[in-house]
Amino acid sequence: MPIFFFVERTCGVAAMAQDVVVETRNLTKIYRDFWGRKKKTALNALDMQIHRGEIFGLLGPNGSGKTTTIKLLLGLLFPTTGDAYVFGQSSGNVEKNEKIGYLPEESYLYRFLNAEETLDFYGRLFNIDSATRKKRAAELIELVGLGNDKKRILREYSKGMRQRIGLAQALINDPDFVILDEPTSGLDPLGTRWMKDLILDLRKKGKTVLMCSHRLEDVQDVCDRISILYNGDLQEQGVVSKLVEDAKRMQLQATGVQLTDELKKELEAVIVKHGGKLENFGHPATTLEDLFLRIVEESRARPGRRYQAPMEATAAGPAMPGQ
Amino acid sequence: MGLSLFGLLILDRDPYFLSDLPGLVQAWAIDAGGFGMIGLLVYILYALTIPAAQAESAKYRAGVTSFMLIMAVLALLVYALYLAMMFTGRGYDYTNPKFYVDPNAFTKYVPHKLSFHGQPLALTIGGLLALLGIGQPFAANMLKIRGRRLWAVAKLSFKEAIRSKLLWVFLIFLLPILFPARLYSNIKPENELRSTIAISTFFMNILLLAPALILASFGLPRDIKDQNIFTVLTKPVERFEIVFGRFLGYVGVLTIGLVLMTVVGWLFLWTAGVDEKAAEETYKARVPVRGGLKFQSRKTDFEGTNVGREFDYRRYVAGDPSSPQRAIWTFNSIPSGLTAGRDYVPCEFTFDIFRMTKGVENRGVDLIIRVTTWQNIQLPPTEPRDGSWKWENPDKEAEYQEEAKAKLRKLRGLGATDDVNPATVFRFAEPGSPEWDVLNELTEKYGFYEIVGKEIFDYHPESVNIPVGIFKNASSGFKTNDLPAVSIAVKCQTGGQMLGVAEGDLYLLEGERLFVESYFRAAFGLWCRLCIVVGISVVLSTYLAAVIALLGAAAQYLAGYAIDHISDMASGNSFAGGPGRALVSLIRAETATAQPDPKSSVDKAFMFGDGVFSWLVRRVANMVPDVYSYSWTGYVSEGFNVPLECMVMNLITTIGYLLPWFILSFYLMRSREVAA
Repeated sequence: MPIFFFVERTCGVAAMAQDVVVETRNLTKIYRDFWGRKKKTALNALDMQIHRGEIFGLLGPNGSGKTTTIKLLLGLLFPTTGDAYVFGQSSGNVEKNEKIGYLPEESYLYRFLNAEETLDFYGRLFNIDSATRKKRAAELIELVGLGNDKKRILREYSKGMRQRIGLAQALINDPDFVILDEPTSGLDPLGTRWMKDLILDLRKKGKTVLMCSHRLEDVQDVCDRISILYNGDLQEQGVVSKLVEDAKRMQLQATGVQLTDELKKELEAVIVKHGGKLENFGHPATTLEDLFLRIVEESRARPGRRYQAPMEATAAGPAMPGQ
Repeated sequence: MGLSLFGLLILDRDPYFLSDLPGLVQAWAIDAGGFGMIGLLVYILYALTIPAAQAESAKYRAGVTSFMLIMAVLALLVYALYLAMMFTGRGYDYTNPKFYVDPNAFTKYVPHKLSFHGQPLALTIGGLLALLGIGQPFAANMLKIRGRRLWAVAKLSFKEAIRSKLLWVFLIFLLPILFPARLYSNIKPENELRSTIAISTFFMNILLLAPALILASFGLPRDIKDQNIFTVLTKPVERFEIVFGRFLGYVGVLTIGLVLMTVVGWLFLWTAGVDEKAAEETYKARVPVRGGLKFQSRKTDFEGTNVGREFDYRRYVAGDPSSPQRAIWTFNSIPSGLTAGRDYVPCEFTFDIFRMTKGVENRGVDLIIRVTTWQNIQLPPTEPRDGSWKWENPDKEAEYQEEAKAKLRKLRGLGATDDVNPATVFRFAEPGSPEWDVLNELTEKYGFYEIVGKEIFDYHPESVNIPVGIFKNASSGFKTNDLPAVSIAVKCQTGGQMLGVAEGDLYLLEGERLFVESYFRAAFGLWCRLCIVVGISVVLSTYLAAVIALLGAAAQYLAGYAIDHISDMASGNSFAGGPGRALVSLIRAETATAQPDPKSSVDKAFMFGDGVFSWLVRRVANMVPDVYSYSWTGYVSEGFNVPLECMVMNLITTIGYLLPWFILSFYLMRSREVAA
């Protein structure tokens, strides 16, 4: 049924719980062609809440509706039906953007500006006064590690550097709610770790973060709750630790003891006695990311450090193609 | 106007003065209000189609306030009243009558005049109500605009333009300066300045308007394509701030280009110098007082002769001692500055001579110029072959002659019976001389002054001095008739020659200002054009692809140069009728001037179709910018002052033209899904 919208001052404010930052109600986006025919349902009746102070992850394969959801929240797209509210205000209301920081998937920044000019430009858009703008820009440039490159125009930046300045522009207004679309895209492992630490730091400061990423390990590392989308439909939603927990299996970790055959037999006997079955024994492996970071840290601490090949490998030499 | 055909200021339309403002505001309310009404109705209908399930987020795109609804209803009522008046034939706009004009005849453009008749009044009120309705969300949004954000977007556009290096194109402007036209073509010395101004203005137009079109049409679409706009619109930025900020940024950077080119052009003129003859004719900024032109012969319906020239801007009076034909310039009011502190007023003129016979070598034609006031009524001769006009009161004329002789005898110490010819003495009297003082006394008393035997040449500026007494006579006493305060009647004495005149060909010279002042003022007209081009381009680019926006804006602007033709089509005064009439003529192999048969149903059907076509063209014509009103090239190149008042009007009309476009951009931008 059609309706006339009589817009008055109070419009666009939804009744939401105090700790809810984002709420979508039956949020649907259908793309249509020039003639109004349905092309694709990008998002279908999404109901979702993001609470204050949490890191929320949006997961899903390409075309699942993650970025569409973010664009709907930011007012870059208009919902076909349903509504999205941020801080209790409709997504169409630009005033809500005062408290939002947004890092797009690609750093869509003006490449003819340098880092300082970029932050100054976005600071002005937030109507921040000159002194505060300068102070905050300087702090953020240092934070993202671009102090030496702040006078270079963005066209000369690498993808990782653009991602860093993109993050700086997202934080220029000291936002309460930060939206990060593929934040670790284009970053090396060091940058990825730095980004993840920064996201965790934002949570410590009481900020709310919404991130979507293809890198599941990143999401698992930092997110409190996640939603999994597939083909525009919400498939799963909940606390990360609960969702990934395998309640049918048990894990033991111990230090200060040698893993001998005798110990194995004794432990197996105890498990069998309690009706279980021992599946595997072994030393826990670190992640490749941890290994990489440890080596880089050591290299920094000991300049001149080089890889020493094991003696037998050196003697035999590397295997050549065709050998 | 463009470049003058004969190297003279062609005044086929007067510039807008502040006195035209009320009429122009009314025309604006009628035209823009009509579009506003359509927009308001479309918008309300669109709001009606939005499903209730989309309530909250749609409020920001298609919200309808009670104020908008009330305005829409009121406007509809007023438009209904207009239709009722139109069909019952009441309230016709007699102030701005629409009548058939001979499409071949030269007609001077007359701006809309303020009318209080029923029909225009209803259209004005209806239009204003519609504009208030459609403009309310726009106005409310304007209150949210913050200077810092606007400046940010403007500065961004500015830097984008500078760093894109597109503006190096301005350097091309140096080419005509490095390689002056006089090196390549044979230009008359007196036309040197005209040519330089014309060439530099041409280059400036191209070099400014082309980059303006490109920059402004591609800016926003590129932002959307590259998705830079995502990082902007996710800030607390009003969408109109982006449109207006872009506009300001591009106008800013192009203004610098305009200033640079104007200054460089001026430095070129200043350093290269101007030929003495050119300086005498055009290196000045005359402040003219212009009058109206009428023609009169023995019979009152004389409108000047058409000598068959294709360009019929000028009409001709026959030259012969026995010719009663006069071209008469009438001045209804005399500005106080014209007579202050001097004993004469220069009168300048430039006429065309259409030679029926070869004439005498190196000899121009002779004129009689008679200046009279409302206190000295002149009558045309009643008898054939009588070429002299008479004083209404012959006794007064005799008294004038006697007094003139007496004063001159006294001045020269002659006896009462000595012969003296006042006409000859006064013909050679110079301002400041004792004879001139006598002349001033006489003209102040009798309101009459005549110059006999003034020789002129084809299209060559000439001047005569008119005693200030004439104007004192015009200002004295209580005016008892509706005659103009001062009339200047010109007669051609040379037989076999026709004197071609137009309204702008003769004027009283109030004073002269510096050429440089006029030169820089003329750049303001180009700046207004620049604003229009950038404005249209930015607005169209809010919804159209860059190339389409560019083509659309270019077509819109260039249509301004064809406004005369479009107006003819809109008013049904086109030479060959509308497209229907043209088709019929083509099929029947009729000439273009053949008239339709009013009894033929086919002709009637096509004429109706042409009527609908004219109506549509009229709507299009309302959207076309009045580019000619911003052209001051002719003024500068011909050595005329560009009045400050007209510059103010240029600014007002530019704002008036762009405002509806900006309202349109507000709605287009608000309804656009930039990430779709």
